[in-house]
Amino acid sequence: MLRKILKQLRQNICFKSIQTLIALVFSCLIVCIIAVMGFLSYYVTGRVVEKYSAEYVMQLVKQVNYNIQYYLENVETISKNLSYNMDIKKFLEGNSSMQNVQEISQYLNTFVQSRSDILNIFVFTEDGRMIANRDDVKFKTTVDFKGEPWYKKAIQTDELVISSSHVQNIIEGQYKWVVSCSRALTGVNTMKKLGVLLIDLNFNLIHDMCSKIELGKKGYVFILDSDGNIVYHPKQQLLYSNLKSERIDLILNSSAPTIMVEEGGSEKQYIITSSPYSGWKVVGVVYIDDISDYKSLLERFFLILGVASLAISVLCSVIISRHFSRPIRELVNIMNQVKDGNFDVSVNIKSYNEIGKLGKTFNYMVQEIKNLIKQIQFEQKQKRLNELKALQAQINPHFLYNTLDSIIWMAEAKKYEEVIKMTSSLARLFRISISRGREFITVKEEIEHVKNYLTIQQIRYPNKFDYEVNVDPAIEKYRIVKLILQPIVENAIYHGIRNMEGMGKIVITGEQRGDKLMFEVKDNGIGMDEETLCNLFNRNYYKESRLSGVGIRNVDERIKLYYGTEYGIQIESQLLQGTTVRIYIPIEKAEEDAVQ
Amino acid sequence: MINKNLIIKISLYFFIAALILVVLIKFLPERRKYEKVVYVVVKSVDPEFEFWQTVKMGAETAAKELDIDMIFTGPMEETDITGQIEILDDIISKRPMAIVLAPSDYKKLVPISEKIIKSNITLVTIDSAIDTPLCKSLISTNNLEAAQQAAEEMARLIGYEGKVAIMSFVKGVSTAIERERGFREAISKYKKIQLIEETWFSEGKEDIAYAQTLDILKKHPDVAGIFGANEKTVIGIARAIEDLGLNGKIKLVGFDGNQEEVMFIEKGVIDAVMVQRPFNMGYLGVREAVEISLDKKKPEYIDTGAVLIRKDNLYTPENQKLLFPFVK
Repeated sequence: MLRKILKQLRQNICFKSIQTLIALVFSCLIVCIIAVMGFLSYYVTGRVVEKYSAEYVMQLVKQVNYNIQYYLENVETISKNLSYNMDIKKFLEGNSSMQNVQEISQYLNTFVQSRSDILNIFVFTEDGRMIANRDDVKFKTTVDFKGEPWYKKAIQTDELVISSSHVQNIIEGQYKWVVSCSRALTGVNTMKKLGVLLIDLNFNLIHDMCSKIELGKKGYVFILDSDGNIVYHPKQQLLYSNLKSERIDLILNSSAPTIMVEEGGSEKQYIITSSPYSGWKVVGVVYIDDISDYKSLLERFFLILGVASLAISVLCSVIISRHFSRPIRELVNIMNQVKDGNFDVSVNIKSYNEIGKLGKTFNYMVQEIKNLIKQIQFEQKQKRLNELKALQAQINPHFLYNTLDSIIWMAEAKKYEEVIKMTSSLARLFRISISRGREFITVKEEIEHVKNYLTIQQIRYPNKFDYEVNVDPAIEKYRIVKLILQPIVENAIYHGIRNMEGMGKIVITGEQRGDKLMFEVKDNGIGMDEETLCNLFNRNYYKESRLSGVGIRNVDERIKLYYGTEYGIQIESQLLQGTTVRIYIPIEKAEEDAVQ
Repeated sequence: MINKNLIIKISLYFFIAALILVVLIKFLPERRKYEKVVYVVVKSVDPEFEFWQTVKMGAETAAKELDIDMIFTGPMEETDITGQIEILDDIISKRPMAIVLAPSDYKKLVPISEKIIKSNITLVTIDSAIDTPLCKSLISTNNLEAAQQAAEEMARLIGYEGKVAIMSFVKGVSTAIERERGFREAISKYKKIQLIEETWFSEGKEDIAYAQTLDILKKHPDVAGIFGANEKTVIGIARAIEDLGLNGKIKLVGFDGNQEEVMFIEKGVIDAVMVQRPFNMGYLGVREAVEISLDKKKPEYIDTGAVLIRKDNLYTPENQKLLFPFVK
């Protein structure tokens, strides 16, 4: 079944014209090229976009990390400065007056006032005393600050301790999100840790820094501290209620800067930067379908491009193929005309390429064939004329020795008058017949020739027929192919009059009929029946019957060869009534030498 | 000498094709996953009202995640039922993809809700239910269960004996009804606890709650515990107790947690509160709305859960974020 369909298909798509072939091949080629190019550029563009977007995200995340680190380093400097402050050291050792405490408080407040991001600076001692940067701060009596993580951690180390983000809950009526930076403080003369300095940073700053960052439509940035606690996450609440999850374990243990994870069927990428100073990790989250958003645009672009170029290429190949195949089709058309026998055509191709040359060669060839045909036609005609001449020449000797026989008989009978008349007629007859080899003579000469012939025949067949010649003298000067009347008259005598009883009569007339000359030979002999008349011009019939009439047919043929088919002989005949033969020839003026 | 005409013709075709290409690329709309708008209509858009502001935060997070437009709106006052109906009427005429609604009344919003559903707009209710079988999507705290949990805590606090009073907020609101029912069911399991039949109402206002507390104490001076069914009610009761110096003597268990409540918890005036997750309501409300209308998800009831907050777990990282959702 399938094979059948394929076969059918192949038969239908057989390339019947060069145009289809060229168009198809061109289109296929262009489509292939477009497909390859399109796919390559799509792939390359995609890779470039991916690479650059990944780099961009990395830069962005790095920048956030750097900013935060710089910021925290700044805070450390402040904390270091304060830890070397002698007044504070004295306060820790318990050697401060009320006034000193006031001064320290004011000093601490200068930092808070100059930096909007610092919320509180407090000093706590191991024995439970404290200084705040402001007088109006009321510490909660319910909270034991020594139990707070920022205190416990700081008292155990010399380094600055940076907490995760949390709500500062030691001040009454104030619940602010802060990052607590705490440092152990020592006394003037001892390295013993006597208290803790607490600098609360407003979490606003870090929050804003991170929340403003857009990584695609859905991407975001979050921060983890060294223990994996969330410092900042835009969807923190969802994480706590398990509506979202981050692979914090993976992030903490990863040494690679990027990790790909799956979330609810779509892929997201973690871009991790960590600060060796704070131990914080700034993590960028990018959704792959988000950054591959460009793909649909790209796909659309290349699809349109493909379809458009396909259309253009098909159009172009059709045009080009038509351009090439049109002259070929023209050539084929002309060739078909030539095949049907029309040689009067020529190919009109103006281009100079191979097809143009082909056309020219074809034109030359057609011309050659035409010439050859003409030549052959001419040669055929010549050959036939020569044949007829030879035939004519064959009749004359027969007539000659009959006539000469008659002359001998008359001389034996001593009819000298007739001998003279006959001999002189014969001489004139032959002079005109030969006519120095010319084919054409004047009408006058032709009439004279036939008269001489009739004179001879009258002497040979005495009292058998009578004749009359009525030729318009106006036409005597015209030129005429020679010996056309004599064969007709011969025919009238031998087939019309010789076998009849009583006197025969032959009337010859000649006159102008329109633009033609018309000669008429009329006899009152036995005539012909319909059948004989019909077959008179049939060459085959005469060959079989061997009937005379060859003369008439030859005359007709000669006239047609010389003058064309519209001229020739017409015969009317009725049995026992007689025959009328009319000869039509064109009017032609005789040349000078012909008249002579 | 390939025909000049041919070259001109071909270049002309190329030009036209290029033009069509440019036009096509320019005017083909960029494909977006979701194109329509989701309205979130809450009971109050008062910026001081943290609960609804947290809902807004959740809704915004979901909108960003799903790449849709979200518009947050509602009346100023929680009790402005007609105002909410008017707003909804206006929204219907804008033909959004979905509406996430926190209905301010269990019955009065039924006609407008049915109109929304009949207009082929997806309706998702959050926080409170609505009295129509047409709306099948609800995202809220399971108030019944949360109230039961609060009752258990109350029973524990008062040593499983004594008198307990209930102060609800607005009559007819589904959350109020459910919380009261849940509390009553759970507390009545304990035979030694005497649950007062009468229910007081605060109308959602602190001063009324304050006055009603005085009324409770007048009628039942020996009351051991009071249950306040929402934020304002609990604060009103707490103030009255503090003013009367009854700290610790009368156990107070309530709902919701804001900064003021946290302060009372720290002082020991309020013993426990059930804190809901408004962020999750907003987030899930929008997500459900989008999934139902675009992904043809089946509507369902989603419990966002509630957390029992006491003095000892105020500052765990999870509860900090829940009690102080805004970075200030």
